[in-house]
Amino acid sequence: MTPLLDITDLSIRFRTDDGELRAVDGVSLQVAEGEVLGVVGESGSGKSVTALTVMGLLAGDAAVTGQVRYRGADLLTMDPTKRRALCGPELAMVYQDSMAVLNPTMTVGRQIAMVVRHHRGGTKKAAMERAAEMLDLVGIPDVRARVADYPHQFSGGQRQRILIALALCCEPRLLIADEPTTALDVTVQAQIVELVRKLRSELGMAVVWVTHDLGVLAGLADSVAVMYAGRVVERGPVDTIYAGPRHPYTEGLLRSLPRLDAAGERLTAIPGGLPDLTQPIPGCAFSPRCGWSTEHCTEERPDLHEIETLHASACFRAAELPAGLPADPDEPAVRPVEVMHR
Amino acid sequence: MSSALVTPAVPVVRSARGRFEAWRRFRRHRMAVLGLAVLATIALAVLVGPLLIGYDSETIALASKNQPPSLAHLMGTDELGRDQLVRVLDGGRLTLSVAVSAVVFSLVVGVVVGAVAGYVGGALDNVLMRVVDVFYSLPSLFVVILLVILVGAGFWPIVTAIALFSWMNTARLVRASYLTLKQREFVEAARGTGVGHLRIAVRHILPGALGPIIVTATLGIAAAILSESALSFLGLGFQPPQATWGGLLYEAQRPVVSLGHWWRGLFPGLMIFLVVLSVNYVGDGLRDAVDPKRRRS
Amino acid sequence: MTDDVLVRASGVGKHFPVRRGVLRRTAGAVRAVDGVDLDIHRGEIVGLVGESGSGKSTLGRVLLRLLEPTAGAVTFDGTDLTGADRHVLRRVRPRMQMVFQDPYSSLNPWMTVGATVREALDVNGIGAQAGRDRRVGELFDLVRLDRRMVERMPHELSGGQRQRVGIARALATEPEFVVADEAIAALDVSVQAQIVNLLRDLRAELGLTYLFITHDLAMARYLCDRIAVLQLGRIVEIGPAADVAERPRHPYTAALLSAVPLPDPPRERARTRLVLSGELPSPAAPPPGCRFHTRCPFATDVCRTQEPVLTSESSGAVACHHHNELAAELHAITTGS
Ligand SMILES: Nc1ncnc2c1ncn2[C@@H]1O[C@H](COP(=O)(O)OP(=O)(O)OP(=O)(O)O)[C@@H](O)[C@H]1O
Ligand SMILES: Nc1ncnc2c1ncn2[C@@H]1O[C@H](COP(=O)(O)OP(=O)(O)OP(=O)(O)O)[C@@H](O)[C@H]1O
Ligand code: SF4
Ligand SMILES: [Mg+2]
Ligand SMILES: [Mg+2]
Repeated sequence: MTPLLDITDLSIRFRTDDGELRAVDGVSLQVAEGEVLGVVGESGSGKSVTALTVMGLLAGDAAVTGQVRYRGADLLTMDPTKRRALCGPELAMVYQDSMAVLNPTMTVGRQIAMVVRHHRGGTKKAAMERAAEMLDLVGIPDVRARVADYPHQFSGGQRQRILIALALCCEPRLLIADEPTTALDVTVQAQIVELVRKLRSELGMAVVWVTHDLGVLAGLADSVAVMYAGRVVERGPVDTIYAGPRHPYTEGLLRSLPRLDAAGERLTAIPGGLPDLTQPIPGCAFSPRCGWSTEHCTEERPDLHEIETLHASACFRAAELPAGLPADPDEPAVRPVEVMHR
Repeated sequence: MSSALVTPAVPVVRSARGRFEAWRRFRRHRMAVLGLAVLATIALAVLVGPLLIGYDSETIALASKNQPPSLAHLMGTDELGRDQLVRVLDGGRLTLSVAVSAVVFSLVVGVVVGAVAGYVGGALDNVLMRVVDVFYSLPSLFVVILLVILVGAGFWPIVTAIALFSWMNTARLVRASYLTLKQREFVEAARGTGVGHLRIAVRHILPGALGPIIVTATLGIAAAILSESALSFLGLGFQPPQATWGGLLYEAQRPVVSLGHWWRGLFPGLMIFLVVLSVNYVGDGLRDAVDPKRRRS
Repeated sequence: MTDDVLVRASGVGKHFPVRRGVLRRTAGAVRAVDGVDLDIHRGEIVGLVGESGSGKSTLGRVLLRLLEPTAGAVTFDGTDLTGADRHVLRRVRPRMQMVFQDPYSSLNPWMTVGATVREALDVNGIGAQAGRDRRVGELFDLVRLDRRMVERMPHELSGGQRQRVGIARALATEPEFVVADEAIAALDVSVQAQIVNLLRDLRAELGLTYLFITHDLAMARYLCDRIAVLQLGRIVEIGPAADVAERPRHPYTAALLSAVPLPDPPRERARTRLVLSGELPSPAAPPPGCRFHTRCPFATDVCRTQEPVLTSESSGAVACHHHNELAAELHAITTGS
């Protein structure tokens, strides 16, 4: 079966003053019909840029290579008009940047109604009804009155929910959600997750859910892809990855979490940060921060390879990982040495 | 501490980067670059051209009157035997100075009024917008005529008269930009770090209003050239023998229609057309250049 | 004890007028914050949790006088900020800062991020002119951003990178009090951990005080000394972080806790939750009685008619008519059994 969305060897480079920045470097991802793929990864690892490329909305001076096939047709080479027609009823996205999507001078009700009418026609009144219904579904209280409000009159989380309503109003076949619930409290988040689950089981909607909230993915995703420095470093079924991560970065992520049931002195952060993406990275991009790193890791780049069925990792030492980590690198992640004295 | 943290001290070269970026974005527009080149050529030509050509724009030479374009007279001559090329270049200098001055003048007024109205809001906004309405509703031509009669024709009266009735669009658009942008969180954030109102209005919001400002400026140049022609047409602009593009075009009406002296109309018209078109393309390019997020389409 | 209160809110309210119709006539008000009393002590980290739209950001803004309260008063280090004039505010502003919730709209899109941070130094005259660029670099190091990013425009950064620029800007003026509004929400967990550790270190070294607005209860539990729970503009529970997170006394807190997703797929899927149902109350017309009663599974008649007041308990305070009877039940819900 051909997957619904099939990204192969996608690379995205930005021209910057410091030279070419490889924001995405050979990413391949597949999403099947009705599947929920969770994408997690370091901040700046290329998640949003990948999502925007699928939607054809990348800003700036970027060179894009590779293929993004949606139901067999390559979106990157598709005729722009045809592609735009897909956005809405087929593909829809919840953007991380709410103010770039919402028009500050138009009431939110009208904005949603406009999208509805554009794709589905119908009367203004029916579209407005649909808008109100969607806003209600995402849990905006007092909808009747609030459809006439402007974006800046909503709280951060409410704006995010308006975006979700906007994306879901045409019942897309594939939803790409870029950190859709970061600004939401847990109860509303649970409500949104429930809504997405429902749409998925009723309409077979597939979802790419970009987040750093490993908890949400645990309950929602079928499979997970972990990104680091523009590449996918691990992917597999959600249970497998959480129970037995096979990449040191994934492992570190899971250990960085504060737990409600345990209050430690310090959070175990992964020391260091993302490498400079304008410089060529000869070996494993994670090696400067990795407790497992060997000389081999700094010289050759590990490719994503399958270690068990459906579970792939881009780490040379993936097989050894379950045995447990070597000595703990017990170094404070951030040392506030540079704080000026008053 | 990991080595990733030890990065060399990089100076924060402000604005220089922004300017370079803007130029890069501008350059992506072929037509804008071409327009800029055309404008530069025309500007250079009207400034130094007349000095290089052997004719004077006001010397009458009846022996060579009404000649079509030739090597001696590239744009032909008029009914008094004056060289058209020199007259077009000379007139261009005046027309362009009037247009640019009027646009600058009206932009300053429009931006200040719009920014104050939009930023301060409330009663002041109301008052200023009523003033705008009043200016819209005044019979502008009538007032201009009155003004020119009272003060007398001349460069500054004409510039002032044109500017006085062309700043309102800018004011409205700038006000609208300020109204929406001042709601944005980054303005609040700046206020929170202690940035004063003037600096917020100028440094934080004005760049966001540049798009509409450029649009009105481009339209303004064309409108100013036309207004100046209209004044000349009414005999209230610059008086012959002083040439302007509008004036030349006006004088050409009869010769073109009844005598078939096409060159009389073609060249001044072509110049106006070229300038207006180029300014529009340059405006497009500028609009992209000042918007860092604009996508290429 | 009173003199080490850095920020005090007494009876603070913020109502936004609701305008309707073509004439935009005022037709009621959204009571975003409604009668909040809160003392924040020097060096303390107070967590502010609550559902989306409950007024957390608004309260944060009012405390910093980015918004003028419509009721009550806010004092900062003994200075009354309500109705304070420009000169007073100018003096106080750099001492209190906010990290904004939305990293996309809180950075000026026409300025490089370095210039944004530097502006905070410039307008407050911090450090010598010449040293400011270096200081900007140091701030970038502090929030774990590559120094070369000072030259970037906001749209060239990822969400998490922008968020860190916002944190750097807030720290630039060396404030004593920081309102961190979902400051780490846009960051992946490993950077979150770094930043949270940084915030803790800054407090230890400089005695910084924070109001930490979050929806991540695990993080609040971990980082904060006290947690305040906001619901429809009112504090419904406040107390030491461990108590609130482990032995909630308000059903709403328990509901929040039981909705925290666990990073453990089988357990997460199998979990029983206190799911809230019932009508979402409107902040423009809060229900009579307890504001939570429309969704509270334990509501009784008294809840529907009488508004519970925030009553002090052993270590905190709670506003629920039945908090005594419910203690055991709520505890069971929180532990997920
Ligand atoms: N227009 C641009 N010009 C230059 N660099 C860019 C541009 N857009 C993004 N980048 C860079 O590309 C990288 C990937 O960015 P992206 O927004 O995809 O990150 P992300 O994974 O979504 O992170 P986050 O979780 O923080 O949102 C970042 O290092 C960012 O700085
Ligand atoms: N400028 C405004 N005009 C009208 N209503 C507003 C305005 N700002 C906020 N509100 C309303 O006030 C209420 C509280 O908003 P606030 O931003 O404080 O919520 P919050 O607790 O921060 O929520 P979130 O977690 O979603 O950010 C919301 O109902 C919101 O719609
Ligand atoms: S390849 Fe080496 S450096 Fe990279 S993650 Fe694996 S062990 Fe670490
Ligand atoms: Mg992102
Ligand atoms: Mg908020």
